[in-house]
Amino acid sequence: MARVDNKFKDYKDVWVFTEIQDHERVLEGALELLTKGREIADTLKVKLYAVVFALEAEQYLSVIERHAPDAIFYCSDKALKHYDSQIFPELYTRLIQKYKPSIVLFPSTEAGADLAPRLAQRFSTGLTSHCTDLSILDSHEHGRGILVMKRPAYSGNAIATVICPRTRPQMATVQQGVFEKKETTGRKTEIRNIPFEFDLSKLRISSLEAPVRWDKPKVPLEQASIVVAGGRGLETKRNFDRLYELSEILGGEVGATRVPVFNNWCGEERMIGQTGKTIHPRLYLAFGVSGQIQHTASVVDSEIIVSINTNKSAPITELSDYVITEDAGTFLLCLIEHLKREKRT
Amino acid sequence: MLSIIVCIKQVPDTQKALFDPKTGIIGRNCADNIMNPDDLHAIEMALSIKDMYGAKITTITMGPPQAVDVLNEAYALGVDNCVLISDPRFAGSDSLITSKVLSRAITRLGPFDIIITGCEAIDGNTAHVGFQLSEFLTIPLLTQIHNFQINSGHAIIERLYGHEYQKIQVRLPLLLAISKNTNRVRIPRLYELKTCTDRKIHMMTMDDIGGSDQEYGTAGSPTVVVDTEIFSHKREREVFAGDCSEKADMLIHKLKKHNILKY
Repeated sequence: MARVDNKFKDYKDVWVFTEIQDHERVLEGALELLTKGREIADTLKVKLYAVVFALEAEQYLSVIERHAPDAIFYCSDKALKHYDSQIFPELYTRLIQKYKPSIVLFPSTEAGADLAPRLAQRFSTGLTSHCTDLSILDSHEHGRGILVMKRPAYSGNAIATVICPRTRPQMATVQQGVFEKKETTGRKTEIRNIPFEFDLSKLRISSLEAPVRWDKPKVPLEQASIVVAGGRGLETKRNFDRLYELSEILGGEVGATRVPVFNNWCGEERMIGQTGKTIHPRLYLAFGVSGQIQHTASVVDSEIIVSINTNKSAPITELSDYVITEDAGTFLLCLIEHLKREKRT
Repeated sequence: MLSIIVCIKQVPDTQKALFDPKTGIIGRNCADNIMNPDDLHAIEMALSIKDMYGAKITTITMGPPQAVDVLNEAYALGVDNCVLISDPRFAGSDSLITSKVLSRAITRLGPFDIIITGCEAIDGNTAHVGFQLSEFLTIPLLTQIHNFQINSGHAIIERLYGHEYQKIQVRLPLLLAISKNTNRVRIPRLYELKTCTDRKIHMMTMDDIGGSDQEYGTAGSPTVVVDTEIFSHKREREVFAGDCSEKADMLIHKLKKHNILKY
């Protein structure tokens, strides 16, 4: 154990990849990670760093400061307007080599999911993706202040606890919506500018035409207070489409498990689960959802869970407040009818 | 002629897998093992490049001996060569070590113009391997491809990147990670299905790719799974009685009680 501690004594702080979304705002998931990172840094009695690469990065510093990092490293350049899989890893690698963080956290976004595995390879270290919980553990076997990461596993009903005991930094990507963000005041944040140094002639990918902006339809599932979701048990797109009618009556949003997305009943932006979104509405209505863990881990914080399923021993029933054993499509139709009648009277 | 390598993986069919309700662990033996869905699309990508420009396609997989099944399936679809990288010393490798094994095997088998993988496997859902292969082999990785052409040693690619459609040019060699949205998988001919198991599978072990025991498998993997617990968020589970219509009324009543329905 002494050897382990000694080997890593230079590796101390906690870093958060503070991603800028659509070059106009700090990603919510990054602010959530800063809040969680603050807690971890306090437990370890080390510093929390926010690392920001962006076009005109200065504009984001005040928002980031309110989420209580001890320091912000920022780098500003027009080449940093979008995430770039050649430039970002290179700049990050240099910073990590120089400052040796013990823990580096990333939101599970397109950019985070590209940057994190690349850095893990460069430092021959471990990465745990799509984590749903992070904590700190002192272990006799593995040393003090180990990052403990939890993620869904076995595509079934288990949560794996993963550590990275022999290498540094310890790295994790975290689903958006898993932690809560919190603003604090009164912390003195050190702000340090990192000069942009990258030989752009090294880039192997060159642009042939000016890119065309394409906006993904934004579905505010994470903020919705009512989510009606469909799964395999709805059986047809026709049935799935009725969810939109129900969500309109209730004033909610439509979500889906993996099967409807696979079958093109709806777009990927509606997917709830390990590779989709994490939600915490007041009401979650699950139509024909069996309850695979990649999905359920992302809905457990819902206040009320109602499941409609023909199989009364489907895993989803275990975490339901109300269980309705019916064919999902039939019940959906029936419920819409009753709600309409209710509204008229 | 272009040389293409496709990395595929055998996975338990998680849609059909059976779980032991006590341990919550997937029964690897009772679930069918299938080719990872994204990897079928990766093979399709290779085949369509072959149809357009002519190419020799080599498919590789790392796994236990029974992973040979997915290689036979790849033969049936029309690839030219198959390699099984199998060694008990690789058992327990995490995503980083898997990428290391694949990259070393690819270097031994090479040179290649295009390497294709699926975006992510349905059993682990890490989506690390494409990015880490890109780092090990120091060649660019491209994802979310809509259109792909080759012109004098360069690939002309249309892709979605962040929230932009881009048309870009990349010098070969390069890596592509393919998802189900990229193409539609062809159906193998019956004759190919019947004869695919007669084709030769090239075998590779640690002795072929080099390195030492300590670098691979559980010993070499930086991540350690210390615990797997059954996931439990059990709730009240009030089961509604009656017919469909009564249950709908019951639900509406409950939603009113919780102040979710306000009329």
